[in-house]
Amino acid sequence: MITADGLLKKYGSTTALDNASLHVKEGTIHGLIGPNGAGKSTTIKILSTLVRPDRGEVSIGDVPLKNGRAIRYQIGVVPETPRLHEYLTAREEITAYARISGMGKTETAQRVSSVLEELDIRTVANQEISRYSTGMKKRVALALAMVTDPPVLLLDEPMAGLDPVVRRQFKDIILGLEDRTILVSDHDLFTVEELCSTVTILKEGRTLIENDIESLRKDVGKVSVELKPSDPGKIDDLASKLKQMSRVSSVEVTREWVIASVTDPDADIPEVIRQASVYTDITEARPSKISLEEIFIKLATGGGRR
Amino acid sequence: MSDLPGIVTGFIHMVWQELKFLLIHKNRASYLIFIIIFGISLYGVGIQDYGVQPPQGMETLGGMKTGDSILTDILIFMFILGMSAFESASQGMSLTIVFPAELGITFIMTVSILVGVNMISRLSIRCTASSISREREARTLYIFGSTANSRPSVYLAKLSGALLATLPMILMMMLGVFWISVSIFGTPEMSGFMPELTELMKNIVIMTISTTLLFTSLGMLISVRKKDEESAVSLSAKFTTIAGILAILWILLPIFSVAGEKILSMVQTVVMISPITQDLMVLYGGNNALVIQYALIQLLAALVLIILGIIVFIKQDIEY
Repeated sequence: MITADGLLKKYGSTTALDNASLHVKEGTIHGLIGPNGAGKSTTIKILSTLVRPDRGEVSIGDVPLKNGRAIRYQIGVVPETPRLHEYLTAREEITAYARISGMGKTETAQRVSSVLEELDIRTVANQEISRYSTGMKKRVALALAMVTDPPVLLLDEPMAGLDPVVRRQFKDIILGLEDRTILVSDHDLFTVEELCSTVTILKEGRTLIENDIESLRKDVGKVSVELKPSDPGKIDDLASKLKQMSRVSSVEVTREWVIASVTDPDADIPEVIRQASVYTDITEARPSKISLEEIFIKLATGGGRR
Repeated sequence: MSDLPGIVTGFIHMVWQELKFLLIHKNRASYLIFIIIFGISLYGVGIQDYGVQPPQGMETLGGMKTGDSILTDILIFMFILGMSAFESASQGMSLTIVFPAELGITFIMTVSILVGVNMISRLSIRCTASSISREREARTLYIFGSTANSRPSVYLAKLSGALLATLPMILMMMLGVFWISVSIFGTPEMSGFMPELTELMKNIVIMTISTTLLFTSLGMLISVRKKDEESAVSLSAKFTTIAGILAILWILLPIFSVAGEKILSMVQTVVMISPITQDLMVLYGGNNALVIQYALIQLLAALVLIILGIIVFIKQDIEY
């Protein structure tokens, strides 16, 4: 659905994107992650046709970037810090956007009512935007992006600046946007992990890796099983035993737990639990997944793979 | 959303949004100031008495006669005023001045251009200078840039909105000129001047529109080049101020003849840069063909500025 290859963008002497690539499948929520300055916002601005790449091929729904109008028909954009016309009410802003986008009067009225309802801003829709909180402004920005019902949404750090309650509401809203292709950029990896099934990791304008999160976990080679022996005194002995197992790549010890990392979770975890049980009584055993943050740190510090 | 109806609807609504903003949030004070200043200026012209035959000897002054130049007309006006005041005072009578009708026409034209067109140009260039720079500074330009509308379409819609916002002023100016003309020249004995006056009003409309379009286009170019509204508006104000000053210098040209042919020629060249000078010059000359020719030159210059502005805007990145 979204394809970008060999993207190069320079701002003066600063290189924002350097041969970056991105591939997003139709109907998925895809995360674009990376530290500040990695090129996430620049990528979204290029996909939105707001910024021209110096080089590279981009298409959305098989429409090349040079056909800007056709691209913009397909997309809705939510910037990191949405600035709106503060002297307008939310209803006026969303209606104006729909009309400017070329929608008819009747269709606009229907869609505006629909998005106001969907995003839970109907009751305050007639208040001036200047009176809105950051969270409300984000909702209005999302409403602008959604009012024309585009198949692709580009969300630049949608959770930035939101309090935990609003974050949860916003997350539920995004997860509820079915049948759309959504690209979410964020440096908060927990957000991306909650929302996305696939990710692209950017670092210093380059794509480190892009894949689905489960495959990344396998690629990084770290899925672990946590074991809690009934006798805490046997923790160290259990750790030593597990280290000798060929299936176990590394072992960590905490006060109550022994954590064994494996490479093939489906085959290795049951076998590790079985072997540990033979040695000592295990009161609790649980597989644990590597977090996206750990994947990111490992990739970012250990160099990238395509 | 099919393409053409969508494009048309989008364009009309961008124009409407810009116009609504300018009318409601931006220009109310400007309209009021225009009414007051232009109204007072016209009233100052209209309150005088004008006659078909000027007082004996008053149509000429030291070899100069009305119609030579605007400055000559003004000097004759000042002379008549001074003489009449002196006569009235010496005879213990109240002051009664009757100006030549031609002088009335000159005053209507001068006030229309120097006050009317200058203020309209000032408003129009300010409106357009702030149009894109305002959105860029507020970081709301992405709202337009992310819709299906093309950059030229956004640019032209903003330009059209600003042009339409000047219409109330143009209408007010024309109504004022019409009212003052009828009040001065509406009498049967003055009716002979009406054809000349009608022609003048038509020419004022032509030059007002072409000059407004020129300044509006310049304002748009400034708007895409500047990053914030204040610097864009400030720069645009300088253009109208300079244009106004050059027009006044054109009126004062006869004074420069004292300084020699070379200086006069240099000043003549400089003052001609101002579109307001051109307006005054061709209107004062009363040559209809020249009016059309200068209006076309201004329109052509406006077109070049519009194309330049669109090219700059297309190449720009829009940040949010």
